[in-house]
Amino acid sequence: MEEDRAVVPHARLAARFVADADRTTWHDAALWFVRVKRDRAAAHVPEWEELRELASRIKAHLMSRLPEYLEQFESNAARNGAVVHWARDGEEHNRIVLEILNRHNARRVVKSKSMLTEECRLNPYLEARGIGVVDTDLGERIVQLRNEPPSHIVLPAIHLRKADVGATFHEQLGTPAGESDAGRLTRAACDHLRERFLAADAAITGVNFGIAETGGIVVCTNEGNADLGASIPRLHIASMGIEKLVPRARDLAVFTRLLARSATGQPITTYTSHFHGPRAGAELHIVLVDNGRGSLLARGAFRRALHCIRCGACMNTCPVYRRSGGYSYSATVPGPIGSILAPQRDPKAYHHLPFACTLCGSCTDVCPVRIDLHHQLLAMRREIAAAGHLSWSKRWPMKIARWVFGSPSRYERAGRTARWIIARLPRRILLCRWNPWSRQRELPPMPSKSFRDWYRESHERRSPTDP
Amino acid sequence: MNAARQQILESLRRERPPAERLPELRGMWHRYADRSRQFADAVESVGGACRFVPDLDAIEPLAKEQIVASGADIGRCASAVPGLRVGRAALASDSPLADLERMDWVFAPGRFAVAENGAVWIDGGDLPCRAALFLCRHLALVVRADEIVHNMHEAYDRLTWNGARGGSEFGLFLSGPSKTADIEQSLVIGAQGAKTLCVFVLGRSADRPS
Repeated sequence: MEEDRAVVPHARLAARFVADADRTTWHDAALWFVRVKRDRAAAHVPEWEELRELASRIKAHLMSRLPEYLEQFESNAARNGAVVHWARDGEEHNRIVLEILNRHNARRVVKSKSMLTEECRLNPYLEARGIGVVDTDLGERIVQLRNEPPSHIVLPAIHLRKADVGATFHEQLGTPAGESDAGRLTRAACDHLRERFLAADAAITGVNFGIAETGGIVVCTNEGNADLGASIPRLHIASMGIEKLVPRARDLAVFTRLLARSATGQPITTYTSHFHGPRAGAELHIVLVDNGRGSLLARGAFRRALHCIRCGACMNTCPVYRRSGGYSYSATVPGPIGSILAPQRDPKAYHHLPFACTLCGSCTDVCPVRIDLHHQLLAMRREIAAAGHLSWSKRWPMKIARWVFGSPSRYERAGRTARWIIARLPRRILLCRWNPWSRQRELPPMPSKSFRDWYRESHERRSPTDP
Repeated sequence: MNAARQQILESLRRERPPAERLPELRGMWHRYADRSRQFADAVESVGGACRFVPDLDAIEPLAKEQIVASGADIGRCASAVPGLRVGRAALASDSPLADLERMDWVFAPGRFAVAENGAVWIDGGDLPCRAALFLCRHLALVVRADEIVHNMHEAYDRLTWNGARGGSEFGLFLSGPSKTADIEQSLVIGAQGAKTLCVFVLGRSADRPS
């Protein structure tokens, strides 16, 4: 599970990413371009804000009656002919999936994008037990061939350039050396994946929405890979987080209008597929997974993080994510929403993530389901500090600052001392490596007097009758 | 498994957030002066093509023209649209996968379409095998102009769900041909599903003066 890994602090991994300035600049611009497309798409919908509000309220209602809706979903899905399974954690999810695959003697699995199976580490689990899993979303296939995790939840290979993909495909798929045309690379990958689909014993997909009222599941994709998987082999396993439900089918109008516009700026995904039971002669299994979601529901301040529909808009707009890359977060879900989800599960390991944030609030502004992301990030910082997970380099300066700012006279004396010392110390010492502030910045010139001095003087010069 | 179910549900009941009312969905949703025009624009914006025809008979010559232009083999083209005879291949519930995989053109019926986003609702029950929709190289859909709704709210209001009770277990909104931008954000139209999409719109919509 995620918690087992040693987690390198965000700042250190980000430093590695920004060492390549050209790539950082490209990454920043590429994601900003997606944000601009999102803005354009949202502006085409006059009732955009109303939809966001409705989505937020539908999810809030769902969470207040989640156990009932889950039961309703289960019985309707069963009536449609699907088999519903329950998993408390990732391990249990993986065991259930393996058991279903074994019962069907399935050895070749095609999987479409599912952040949940990433979260559960399903691929290595199945591969260690002799089952081959091919990720079929193009971006996911690229990172799978490179033995990397996705760096973004919607754009899994956004950290790579065409030449990187060309080199990987040359090595693994036999495309010509130096090929860097996106169209030709895409065609090569699609041909390679088509063979895998035709030979597959089973398909695994994620679920974007489950409908309590009908027991159906909805999968939204652009490439067509999820539908190929769900239409070719005779076994379809759908992994679904318990928070993915909507009460009524009609609620999907709200969510399908928001999802793709927020994610990529499209008016809707190319394929918005509704499955109500298996097709004739096939089986459909739905695995409902908790894996910490229930405990998030129990934490008032962070509950709304469960409303997330995984569109990625908060990442595309985040000034930190855009310049530090998805890997700097070391979590399955990176960016602003990941910086709440990961430390919620394991505050000690991920204590640095809520600090990888400028609290600018841009994520909150674009979130299609109105999660109060930056408020939650601030609240999470408080929890992490209260739990004692902060490093001494964050703890002590804060303690000293509190002591200094706690008294007007101490503050005035500290300012006077700083102005005197900094003006006299040599640059070699001031801008030394122990002062992280000066790594990318100059110190400002020290003023001769403080604001207070200036205010006192300018007011004493005036006569009391002046306006 | 039952233990997991019980434990998950029990802990959710214990930690239930305060009650919230389920909102009504009665917004003043945006409507278009000319649904057909808006639909065609939306289809084109997502990489598809849209052609207005008076009736089914008018599709045949256009379809043949497109098949020839795409270099396709007429023996690998099939129609699942009632009354539309295009291509010599047939789709059946037991069509071998290898035949479906070689399919150049598939013509399929759409139940209705959505002006807002260029999506067409395809009911799985209208096709002998749904894999053909995703395996074929070129997909053509046929939908009536007076079956274009304004937005997704009207679209979901039209749908009924009865998977196990005689209805079809599968249906989808399809908007444009398959696509990806996973390689350096360069948009490539034509990914793993159909590489092109053409929607034939039959007749006149209510919004257009005749």
